Amino acid sequence: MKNSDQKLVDAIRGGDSAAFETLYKIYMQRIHNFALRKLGDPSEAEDVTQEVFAAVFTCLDRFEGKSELVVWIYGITRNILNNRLRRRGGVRLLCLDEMPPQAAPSELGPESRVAARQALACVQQAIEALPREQRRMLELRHGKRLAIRRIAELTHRSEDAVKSSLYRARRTLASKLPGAKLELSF
Amino acid sequence: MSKERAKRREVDSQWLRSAFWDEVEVEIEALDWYDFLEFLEADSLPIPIRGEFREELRERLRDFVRERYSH
Repeated sequence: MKNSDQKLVDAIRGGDSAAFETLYKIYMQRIHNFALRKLGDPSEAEDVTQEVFAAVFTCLDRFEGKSELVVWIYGITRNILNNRLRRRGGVRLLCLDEMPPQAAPSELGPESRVAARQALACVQQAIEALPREQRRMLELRHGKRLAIRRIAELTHRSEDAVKSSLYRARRTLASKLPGAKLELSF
Repeated sequence: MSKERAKRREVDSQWLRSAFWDEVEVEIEALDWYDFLEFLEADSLPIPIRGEFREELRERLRDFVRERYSH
């Protein structure tokens, strides 16, 4: 766990209200927008945001620092979203075109944004270094969000071969991008 | 017990079950980098949040944290 994560978590556990405000400001917009992108329903996105924060603050004692705080909160968000999507039976992505045109005032400082972009650049480099086929599979699956079956048709490979290629690509990325490389200075 | 309170209790028990945290660990271990990057970048999307929701949630959480972690 990064030192800043540890300090923030310790401060909240110690009853520091400023630390609570910091964590809320860093994650509120991010969790809400991510949930809205996945669910496409503003009311459900609010429910998920509330659930995630309640889980985070109820169970902050469970945070052991085995991963970065941002990854831990992402894991909770992802799990709550998965549960909701399972109950509902599918994903509906909200296109940028469908979003309201007015830009929300961001509460985050420029440092967080820069850190996120640096992490993005780091991942981009790792993706570019992948073998061509793995890169293509990632792009089709995650960039274009095609189904495995459709990718198999387009690339003239079996579905198992596509899955295998995606698995190898993810493993390679995971090995090249350990949490320590994510310099997210929150 | 009110409907909302019953729902709240149901959700609370869900977080406290170890299966919930096992699944969080699975999500972290199988980190999908594209999805994670979407999460990192999500705060810069032009999506307004209802001010009322933002403030109400902040108030509720602040009270909760104060109660839970004050010594």
